[in-house]
Amino acid sequence: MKTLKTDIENKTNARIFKRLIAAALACVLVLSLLAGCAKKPDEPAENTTGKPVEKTTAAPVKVETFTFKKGSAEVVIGAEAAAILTALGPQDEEPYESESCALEGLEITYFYPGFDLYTYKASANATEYITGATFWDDTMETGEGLYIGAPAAKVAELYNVTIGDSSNISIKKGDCELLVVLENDAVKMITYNYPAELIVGG
Amino acid sequence: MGTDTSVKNELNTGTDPGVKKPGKRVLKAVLIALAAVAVLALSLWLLQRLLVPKYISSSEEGLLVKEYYSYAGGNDVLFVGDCEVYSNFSTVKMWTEYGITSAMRGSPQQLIWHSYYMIEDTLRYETPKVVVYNVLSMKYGEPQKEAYNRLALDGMEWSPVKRQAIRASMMSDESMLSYVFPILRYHSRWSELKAEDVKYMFKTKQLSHNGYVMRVDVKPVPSRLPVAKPLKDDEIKFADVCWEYLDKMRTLCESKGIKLVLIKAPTVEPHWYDEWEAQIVEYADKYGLDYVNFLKEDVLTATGLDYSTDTFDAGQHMNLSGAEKLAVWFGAYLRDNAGLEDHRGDNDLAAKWQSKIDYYEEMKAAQYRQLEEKGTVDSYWGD
Repeated sequence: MKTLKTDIENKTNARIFKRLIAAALACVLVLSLLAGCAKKPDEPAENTTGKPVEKTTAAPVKVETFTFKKGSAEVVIGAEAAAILTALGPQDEEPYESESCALEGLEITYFYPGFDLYTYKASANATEYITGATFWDDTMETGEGLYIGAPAAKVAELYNVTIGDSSNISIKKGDCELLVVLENDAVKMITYNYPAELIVGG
Repeated sequence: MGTDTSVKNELNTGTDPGVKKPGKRVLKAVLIALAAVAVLALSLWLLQRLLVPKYISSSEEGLLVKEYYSYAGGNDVLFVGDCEVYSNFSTVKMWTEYGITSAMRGSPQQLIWHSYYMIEDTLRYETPKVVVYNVLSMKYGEPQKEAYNRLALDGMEWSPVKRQAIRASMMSDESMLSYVFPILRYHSRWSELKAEDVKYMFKTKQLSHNGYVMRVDVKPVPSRLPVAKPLKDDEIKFADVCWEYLDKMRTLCESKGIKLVLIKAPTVEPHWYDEWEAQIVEYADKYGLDYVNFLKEDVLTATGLDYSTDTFDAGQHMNLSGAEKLAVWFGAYLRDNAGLEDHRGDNDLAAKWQSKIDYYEEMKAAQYRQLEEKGTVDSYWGD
């Protein structure tokens, strides 16, 4: 009887063991499902270093954007930077680099005569993109012909906008913004902004 | 075989006294179910421990919020804010110079609502005499990146305060559940796991010195800085939500008898605009708050800060030399304006702080060693 009882207990233990195995398998199943989820494109982006990194939405594609020229080089805001930087030639001074706090991502400001040019790369080895520029003297001109010192009316004429009470005029082209600052009815500053969050590192 | 059958029959009729009764069977089934649930929960917990980022070889600042709980209690000064706080003021120097006990609750791009809830959370452990808030984050009226929310919130201990902090911080595509169960956020790291994910599953390294993050290397501010971009119309005035949280911070401090001091750290980038400065000055004047802008010529001169030697990234953050200079000047300011005591005569506190000094010196030596060997500091721990 003892032997038989032990046999029954063994069978019971075997059932327990099977249930534990089933639980473990359930774990594995859950994890597999979770792992499967990882491939969904809308999940938070992560990099190989384990950092949580910014979520990105879409890679810049060839869309409407602003451009301007410096000599023979055409600067396309939102475009890949390498060819444009080469075309612009050597800079006056070393660029100013600004790392994202704790996360990957590097903003770089290049200094050229008449303007600062901004780029962004999502990580050290990622593709660098043009994210904007600021003109700081009247040697520079937008693709449409606006320059620092131009009368406010010129902004209205070139960009078909109404000049209101605000000293800042924001003009959009695709995802790119041209910000014109007025002072005493004349253009004081011109800046291009392309949202870095639309850029995906290559 | 025949005996087996008879036993089975006895089992069926329940006549064998050796066979368990239905009540026991139910109990056993419940226990088994509980054991299965426990195994599942334990497995998932272990897996979660494995998958969450360890912040050892990258994004180290992710360790900061959690570290606070190891030095909570007995701090006269609490700094809250972003990297302009945790990189720029040496807490250890404030102790060695003035016997001021201070702690920081900062994380990268920590927004004002993060800071507010950090103060509330801190009050669960201690009531400092002074709270110092760095005002740079007033420029952000909405969360910028989900990753910064995780760096600020994942490390907070669970309490109603954390729940409120998450609610106040979540971006539209985040969920409370992913903060309760971080595995839901980090499960996709399974393919990127490294040795450190195993090594630091249960115990991690200490990064900060009561919240201060040390860097000893030098990268001077260049002769030329980027032109300050013009502010857009909606960037000129701080957002209502920021004022709302500054008000909450002020009234919370008032209700606890804490002196609130506003500061702007002396970082040259990102640019601090005159339009922003005017709003903070007006607010401080209106409510009789102290406001110290370290970028002001007279304050900068008094601190002795030198941008050619006291920053490690061209003026965005101070290095150890800069953080110690700021601590010396600001420590004296707090002593004189907030009546803080010198605790160096307290033997228990002195012993506690001696161990902090030891770790500070150890990290400093390790970073200088690495700087000498590699020409750069690529690990806070110098390893």
